[in-house]
Amino acid sequence: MLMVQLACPKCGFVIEQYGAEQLETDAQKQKRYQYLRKKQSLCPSCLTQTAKLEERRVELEAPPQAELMAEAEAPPEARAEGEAATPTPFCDELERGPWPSHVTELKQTRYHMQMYEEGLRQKRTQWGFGGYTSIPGVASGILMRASARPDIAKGANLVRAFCPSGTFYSTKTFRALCDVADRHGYGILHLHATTCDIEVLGVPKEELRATVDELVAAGLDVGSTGDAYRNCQECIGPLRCEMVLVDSVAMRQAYFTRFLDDVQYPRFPHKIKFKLSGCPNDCTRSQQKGDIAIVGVFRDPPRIDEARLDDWVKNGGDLAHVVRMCPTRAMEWDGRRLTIDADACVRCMYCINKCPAIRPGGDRGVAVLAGGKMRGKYGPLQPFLIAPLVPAIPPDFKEVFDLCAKITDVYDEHARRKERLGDFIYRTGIDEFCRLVGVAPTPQQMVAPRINPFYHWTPEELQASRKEA
Amino acid sequence: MATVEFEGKPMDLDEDGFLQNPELWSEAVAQYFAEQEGLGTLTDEHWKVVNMIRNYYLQFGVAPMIRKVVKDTGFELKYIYTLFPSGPAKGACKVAGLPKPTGCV
Repeated sequence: MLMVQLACPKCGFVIEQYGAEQLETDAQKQKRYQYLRKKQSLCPSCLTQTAKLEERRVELEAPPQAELMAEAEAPPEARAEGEAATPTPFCDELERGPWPSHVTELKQTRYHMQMYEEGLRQKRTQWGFGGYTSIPGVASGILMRASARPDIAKGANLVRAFCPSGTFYSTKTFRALCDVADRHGYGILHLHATTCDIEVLGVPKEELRATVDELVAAGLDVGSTGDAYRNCQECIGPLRCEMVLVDSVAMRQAYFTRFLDDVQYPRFPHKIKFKLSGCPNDCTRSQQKGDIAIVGVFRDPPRIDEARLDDWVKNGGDLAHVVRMCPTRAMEWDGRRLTIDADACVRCMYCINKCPAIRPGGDRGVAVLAGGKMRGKYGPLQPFLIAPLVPAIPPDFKEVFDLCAKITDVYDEHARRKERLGDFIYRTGIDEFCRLVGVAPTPQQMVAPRINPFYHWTPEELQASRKEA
Repeated sequence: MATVEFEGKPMDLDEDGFLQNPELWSEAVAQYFAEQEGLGTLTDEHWKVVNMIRNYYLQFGVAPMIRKVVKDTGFELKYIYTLFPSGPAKGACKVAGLPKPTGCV
């Protein structure tokens, strides 16, 4: 039968497809077709450019429904075998070499290798646009990804669940999780994706409900998609780290205890990502990635353990270098005695990371920052420091989360639809935002929230890069 | 795209079952949609949400934001999800006879 396709001129994604005779008889289809042609839109992934829609007339031989039905009925194992039989030269190339290969992993699952193969051959992904969806009873936690090549594979859904705090699993939970992924999905787990979620990939639409139910039965909660609070990523904190200033893992537990409904039922103008770091080293990159960043801080100047310092210097510790590299020149070292100027020190953790005899000071709490993001209307933004030090008192960390709730309430009340928190603060201004939230303006809100130079190239690496240049 | 016969009048629905022409809406139509959604007979609490969305739509021409629904009805969002399992956008807006709201919810 003759089909009329409206395809994106850039990537070839078929936006709409009609039977030719349908187009003559069906008034609604005709209207839509005319509208799309007139609009000359690209597919969602190419929207940034404008060009004319490409109109193709193609012969499709068999009615497409029968094909799809046959594909759906075939058992997954048969599908996998059939695909393994077709050659994948581009993917095979990625299996060479000494590294463990992701292709080797993917080949053991029911992932559509031909989609990847075609993507490598054409140098662009064969997957289409994606987005959030929901099924009755599950408001958040399901994403869909359309396929731009329905002839190879249909679109795939994925289910998102939260990992336990600290990303520690018992082997029992993990086995249950693997079983769910094997039974319903491709057999792939995407672990600790960008927001620290578990993602079960390739779940067919009719099995979504069963997948969610089984994940809940295994003790994991599903959610973290859509315009809701997102999963809260935390640093490993007191479980393994010596630098940590607040109990970040307990804080994440308290976050879910308090906000689970907000995580599972989307109601905000846009997503709100939470990140937790136990100290200003900020291993979770909370200030770059989190709409609301909570960072452990201390107010007293760094403590110096004199005896240990002597030992360290005697064993070859280069204290003069540490002092020289202090970003605010707050340290003084005369060869016998080290002093730190408390006024000049910005608590950047540089000396603490370098020298084991210098430890963080007392009076600890968290700094709450809001508005960091990578995308959105005004592009990447560093967050604004809303409160420089809030006491973090276990078990429920009420002061911290009260402030977070206040920030998001203001955001919910005043922001426009689909406006990120950072864009909203940028638009209203930090002074107006502080007035709405009810925090007093402080000088700390104006200074850069983090100055941490703890990133160095070794002399060898510098030498190598110069040679290349 | 489908057309259903309701009380002798034809009604155009889009592919997700949303009413195309909001003027055709009546309480009987709402009850019809509720049965389609599997909600059974609409209770007073359902009506409170539906009427709020309907009135907002007639006044402003767009579906209300979820915050507005929660605030005006006084129900918690979680409770609205138990009333309308497919959510305020997909479920309640359909019953209230609005065209399909844009957005992801």
